[in-house]
Amino acid sequence: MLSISKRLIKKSFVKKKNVFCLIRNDEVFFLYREKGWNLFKRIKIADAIDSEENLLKDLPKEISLLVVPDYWIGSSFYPIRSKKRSIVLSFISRKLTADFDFPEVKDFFEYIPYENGILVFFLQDENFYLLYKKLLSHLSFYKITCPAFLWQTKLRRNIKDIDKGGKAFIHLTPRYAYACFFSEGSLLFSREIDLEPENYLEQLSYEILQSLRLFSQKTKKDIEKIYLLSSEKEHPSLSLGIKTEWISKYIRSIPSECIEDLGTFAFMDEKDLSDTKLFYIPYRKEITFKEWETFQKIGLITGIIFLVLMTSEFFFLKKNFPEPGLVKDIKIQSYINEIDEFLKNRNRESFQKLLVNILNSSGDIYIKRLIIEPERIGIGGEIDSDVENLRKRIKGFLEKLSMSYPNIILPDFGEIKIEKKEKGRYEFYFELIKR
Amino acid sequence: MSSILSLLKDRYKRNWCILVLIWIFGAILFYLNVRKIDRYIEKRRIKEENEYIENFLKNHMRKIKQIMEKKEKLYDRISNLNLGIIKVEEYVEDIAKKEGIKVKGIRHEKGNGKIFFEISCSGDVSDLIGFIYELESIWYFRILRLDLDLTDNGKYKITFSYNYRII
Repeated sequence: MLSISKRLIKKSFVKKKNVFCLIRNDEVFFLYREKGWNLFKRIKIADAIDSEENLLKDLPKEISLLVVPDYWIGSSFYPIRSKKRSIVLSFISRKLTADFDFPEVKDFFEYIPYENGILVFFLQDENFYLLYKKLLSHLSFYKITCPAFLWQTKLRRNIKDIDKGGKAFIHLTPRYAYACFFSEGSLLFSREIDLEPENYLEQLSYEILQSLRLFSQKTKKDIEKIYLLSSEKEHPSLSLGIKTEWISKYIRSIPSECIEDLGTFAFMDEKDLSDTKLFYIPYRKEITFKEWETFQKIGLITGIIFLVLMTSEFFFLKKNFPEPGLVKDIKIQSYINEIDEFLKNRNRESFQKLLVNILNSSGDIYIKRLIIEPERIGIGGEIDSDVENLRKRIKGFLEKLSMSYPNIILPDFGEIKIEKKEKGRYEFYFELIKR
Repeated sequence: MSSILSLLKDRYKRNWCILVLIWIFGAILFYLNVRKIDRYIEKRRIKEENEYIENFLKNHMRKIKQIMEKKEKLYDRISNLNLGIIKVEEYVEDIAKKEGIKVKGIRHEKGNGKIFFEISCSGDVSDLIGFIYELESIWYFRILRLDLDLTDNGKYKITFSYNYRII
């Protein structure tokens, strides 16, 4: 119980602090600053890569800055003229994927314009990718840099002409010296030289001269000036045959609290780590993540609100609106059908009345044939009339019928079959259709 | 399984998975809620309709029963179909005799729940009118066709249906 509460306190504490991850000498350091550097956890790289146990459980999820050894970052020059960032990024991504065995390399690079092309910085060490797969991919980090870039930024802030011509910077400590070599403001290479106290100066001079030679070979130029910084109060006297300047007056070189093995990184302070001009390699996947993070957060928040509302509604409905149960199937339709049938029969037309009405309407027309069906009435008969009055007489008969039965369609006179039986006597036949 | 685990380990993809799952669950609940409301409204409507129908039947049952009883007159309740046919033929002959109509023949044809009769007869038109009146006064007879030749003594064909129910 106590360990859990301790862990919780530690976690909540670390959450508020910026955690930095330093990789140095085969170890991964998780550090935070509070009156100097404090160690949160350190893990051996070999353990992180090989171990099966879950190393993540005690680690902070967010890393403010990942600092890798200088030699883990490689650089290549490409003579590409395009200024369009998307084209350049796509080109570098393709180029790096083709040139390196690690497909993840396309997620870890940055470029700067350099002479007639671009200088691409990328993570080149195999250990980084092994560590990335096992450990780093589960953490949230965006900026990756190295001590050389940190020192470059620190020097730029304090020394004006550091970006002009060939310049070197040497940081001296009792056990080692850390040297960076710059050409026109670009980091060319860096070295960390372990020194023995017995022949400190001889060893240092020898190594520096070797490095100066390497610089000359690479740039075809010489170093113009060396900036020196010592962690000791007394400066050792160096004679390298080049203009030197001690910069202790500009830059404080005492680590606020040095954790063993942090190396030159221990001399960095908050200002150095949060400098906006610090050159870093971004974790490109994290860029995509950052771009979508706001959308994801909004989606999650609205989704959770929606889910809560729907769940509440679900239980509210379940509680307050129970199923009405089985609904009785009342067969009113059968009653309706029965009543309809009854009404249909009750309202049926009387054939007897129809017959009487037709005979009454005929007057002096002699009805010989009658066919009465529910939908039609056929009437045939004889009429004594001259041709001129025949039409008038039949029309009169039809009008009387239509008065008795307004829902019948009378035939046109032309449709009536008329035959002459003898002079002055005509036979006729017509049909009345019910509407 | 391993692909799911690797998916969950990737924070970016995991967030998308969570987001999608939350919205899927939300959508499912939304659908269930809407369906429940719809079903509740539908069942309530049927229930209300039924209540209305029940009230209507309760209030009008007396009239409905009367109609049903009258409606029963539309069918002749017989125990044997042949007996029914004989009964109709005898009845037709009786009213024909009463009205002064001479029946020449009675033919019948069986239909579904009814029998079609065709009477061939002769006589005076005024007697025929009385005969038809008598025939129509019986609810289970329904005249379908009158084919009247009014020349001389008259030749008539009357087609009607006889509706029955076997009991």
